Amino acid sequence: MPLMLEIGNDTSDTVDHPEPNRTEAETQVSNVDWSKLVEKIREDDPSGMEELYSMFSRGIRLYLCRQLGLQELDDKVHDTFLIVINAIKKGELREPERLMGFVRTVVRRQVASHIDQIVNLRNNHLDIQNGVRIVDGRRNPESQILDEEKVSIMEEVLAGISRRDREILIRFYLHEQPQEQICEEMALTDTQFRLLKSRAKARFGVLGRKRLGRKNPENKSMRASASSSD
Amino acid sequence: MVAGAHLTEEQIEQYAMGKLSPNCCEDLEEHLLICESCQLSLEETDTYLVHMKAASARVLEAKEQPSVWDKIRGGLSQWMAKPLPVFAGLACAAAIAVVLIAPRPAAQSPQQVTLESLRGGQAEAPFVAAKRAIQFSLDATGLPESPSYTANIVDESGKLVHEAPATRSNETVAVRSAAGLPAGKFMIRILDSKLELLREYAISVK
Repeated sequence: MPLMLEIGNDTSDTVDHPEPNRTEAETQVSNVDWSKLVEKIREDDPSGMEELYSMFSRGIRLYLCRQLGLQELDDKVHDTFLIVINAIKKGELREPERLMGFVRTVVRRQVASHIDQIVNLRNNHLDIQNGVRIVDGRRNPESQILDEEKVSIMEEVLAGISRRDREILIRFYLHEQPQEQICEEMALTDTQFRLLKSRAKARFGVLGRKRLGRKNPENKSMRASASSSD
Repeated sequence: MVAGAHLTEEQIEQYAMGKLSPNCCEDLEEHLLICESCQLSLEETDTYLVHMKAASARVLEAKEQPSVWDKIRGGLSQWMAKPLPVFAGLACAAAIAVVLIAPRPAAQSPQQVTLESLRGGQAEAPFVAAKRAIQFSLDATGLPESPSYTANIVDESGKLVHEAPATRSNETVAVRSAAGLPAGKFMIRILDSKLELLREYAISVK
């Protein structure tokens, strides 16, 4: 899981993403010729495979990682592609425009299948195995220090706002109370609520850039390093 | 949502927090599969949520930890809430301590006044302050011997105001008026053991 820092931007009223080339990305998504891509894969054209991989690999990886963690992630991504490509070749995808939905379905099945396997393993084989594979969920020391720093920055952000605003954020993020409930009980409009969250995010981003940027000058952009680690 | 349209921060946050319905998730997840921009936003939001939760928990924990002042206040509250006999006993002890320790006004030292016997032609009698103890030291030169002496203090009209034993030592007779005298003019009369007037002294009190 890549580490990110540049959350939110200083224009706290907007909900735009911080990506500068967002419009370009949006255009790319809209202009994909799904029929052509599916046709290439059916014809066993390597460029089609390559295009499919470059288009979906990051998204599939992210989805699997969020659902199942980092363990054997590459294998799972590879298995998913094999399933998708074989299905396309067998003609199971009748509407090429539905390729995104099809991939999503395959990924979801992969997750469900993996969870079933784990449950099955626990139920049937745990007692006869000499040992159980346990994933080391700890992050490396550098990441832990970075995380700790970010949490302290967030604490600083929380300490710097009013008690009421702090309560609102804690209710939402920690207690996960519904927005409607918080707004009603704290006499807030939806806009005020969104603005408060947005400002906190922006403040976190600004403080983080100041502090972590100073400590680690080589790491000018956390996002850049995260992207390269993929 | 349209497949090509990017997700809003709000949508991403709700998705990351698992607050979206399955129907909403479908389109959103399809978009996330191919949009790197929204993938990055989702990763950032995931990380932000983790940090925000950890920080919120710490802030909340710190708030619940009683401060030093809270501890003192709590201790006092507990002490005040003790049953009456204990509290009453402590209150009595405190009152006694206050009485014993509290500073008292210092006892005023008596005014020392030396007087000579009143003789004819003496214009002015010495002054002393009213309502203050007076230690008279009276000139006893030529005073007849007597086993004991008595001092009578009378006002201008001859009314007895104070009577006290007088002690002779060599050439003086000592008389003490612990309560002092009111303002006015007074005569101090020294009487012998047979209450015969031996000598008079004048004093003005203001």
